[in-house]
Amino acid sequence: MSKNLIILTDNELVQEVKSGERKAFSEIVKRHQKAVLRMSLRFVKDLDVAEDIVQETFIKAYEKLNLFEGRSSFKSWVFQIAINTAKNKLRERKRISVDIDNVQLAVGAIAETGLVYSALSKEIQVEIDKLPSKQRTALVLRVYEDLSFKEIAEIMECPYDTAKANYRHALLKLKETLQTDVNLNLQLNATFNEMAQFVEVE
Amino acid sequence: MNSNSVNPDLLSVEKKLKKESNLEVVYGIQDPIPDSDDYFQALHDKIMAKINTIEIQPKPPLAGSAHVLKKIWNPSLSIVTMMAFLMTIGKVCLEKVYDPALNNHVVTKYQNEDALIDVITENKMVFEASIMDMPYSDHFIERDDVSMERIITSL
Repeated sequence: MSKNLIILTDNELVQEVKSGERKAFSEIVKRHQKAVLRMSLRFVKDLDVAEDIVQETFIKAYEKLNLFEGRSSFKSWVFQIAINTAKNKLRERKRISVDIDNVQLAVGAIAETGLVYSALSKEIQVEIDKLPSKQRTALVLRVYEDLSFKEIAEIMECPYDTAKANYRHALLKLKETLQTDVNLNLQLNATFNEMAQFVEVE
Repeated sequence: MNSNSVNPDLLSVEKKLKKESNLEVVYGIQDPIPDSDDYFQALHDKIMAKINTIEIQPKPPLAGSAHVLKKIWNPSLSIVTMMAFLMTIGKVCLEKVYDPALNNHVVTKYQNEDALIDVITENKMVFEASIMDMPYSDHFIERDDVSMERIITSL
């Protein structure tokens, strides 16, 4: 009789896979693919590329499963592989020269969707992209993936305090941006109010 | 998430970031992560189709020792190692600058003393033109070069 894989922990599933039970890996994929996809998308900002990263991540994880000894959580280990894969993809992308016509088409396509974007969200994303790699990774894992500093340290292969310091520095940098943006919004609101009053008077 | 682990003045920044973390808004994609089960089932099937064609690689023989090295290479140890490394480099540099002949000079001097005394006793002119002409001083280093007593007694 086959085991009920759903009730097994990640580490137990890994042991099952190591002993030749491929179906156990199917359960592992189901558990983590969404989180890996979401995190990859944060790095590469392209759904197709993020999907490729998810596939590559799980294939690498399967091939190197003997290297996982359960010292960290399986999720941390998979995230570590995913981040490294995403970074490699970004490096590849930088090497490929960008066709300016394609860029214009892409921008046009987005504009045509008629979506109203939050200026603040865009601004924040621009600032996050400017952060050094380690700070950005710590921020994405903490804020968007809700991971503990222990897990972040495991993924980033650094001491606990370093992971925390990277996150803190990232927040400090973004704090300035948010502060500036709040001031800008207040100024804009004041201007709009003045304009509205002027129109009413007219 | 334990928010207490972050500086309180940065908590508001953290909350703001979470609030503005909408992927759809940030990237202008209508539905960046499809929420349907079909989408993830398809992704899962693609992954498993590839998994079924590959095998788990055997563990490399040195994988364990590499991990141990990584584990013990903590910051405090690296500082000690770096200091030892810098000291070694410093020592090598000093040895290059410092002429070893200076060290050997003392040994050579005393090894040649007998020969020197012979030369001086045989050629008194040389002796007079060299050591005897020099003013005596306690600080005068040449005083120690050759035992004056031995020279005087041998003359």
